[in-house]
Amino acid sequence: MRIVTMTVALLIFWSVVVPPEAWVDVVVGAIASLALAVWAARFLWPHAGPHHSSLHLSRVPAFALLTAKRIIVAATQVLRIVMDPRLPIEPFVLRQTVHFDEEAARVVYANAITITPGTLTLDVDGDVVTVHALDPELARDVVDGTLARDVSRLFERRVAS
Amino acid sequence: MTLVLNALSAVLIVVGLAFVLGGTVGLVRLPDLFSRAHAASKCDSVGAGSILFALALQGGLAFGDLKIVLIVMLALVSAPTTAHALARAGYRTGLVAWTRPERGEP
Repeated sequence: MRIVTMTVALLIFWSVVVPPEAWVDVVVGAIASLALAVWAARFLWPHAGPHHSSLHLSRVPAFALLTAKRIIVAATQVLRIVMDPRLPIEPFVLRQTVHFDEEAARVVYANAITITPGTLTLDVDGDVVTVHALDPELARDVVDGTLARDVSRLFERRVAS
Repeated sequence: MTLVLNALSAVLIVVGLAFVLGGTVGLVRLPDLFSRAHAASKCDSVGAGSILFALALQGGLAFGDLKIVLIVMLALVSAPTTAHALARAGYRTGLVAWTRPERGEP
């Protein structure tokens, strides 16, 4: 079932990116989508497919806007740092224990850290997330748990600790 | 209206170029793989996003804009994934992150 769902989703994506002008476009798109869906089901999530049962769709736009704001502010700070002749960075590696009930929440959290300039997820091992940060100021939302709470609110009722 | 859209597009392109330039400079100036991954992947994704939105404005809210929005979303997902994959490979092979030496250290 998840192969069918993913094939349809990928085919829609294909149809937007490559607007079909002949039937061969649709056939090629369908074959590529099916191949990718089968590959993903076999290698990316062989035991269980991703599920979004507790994802609060109503909270996604607010989270997306907040993430966009974080990205722009932090990218500006990184730009200022790399253009500064003194290169004022204080890189450090942080290990943080964050509990999420869902695998998807963990993935979103790790990606939200990495997508925010100045912080980069090095590894995720169970509940332990290892983060590289260019500067303590840029990692503030990660260190004080703000980002983890935002992701928790997006996925589940229980707040991460 | 066209003048406003053109001006907005021009601003977005200049801002995008500044971020792409920043990413490139960071790639050269920053000291290790982890630090460089920050600049190389993320300043570039903000820069590319800005330039793509400028293109969308030039498209005049046509169907092609949806394509650009999808490409921006794809870039926002693929850039951190690539950066994470590179950094994780470095981390798991024992690469030690650069830290600023204390005063007095060589």
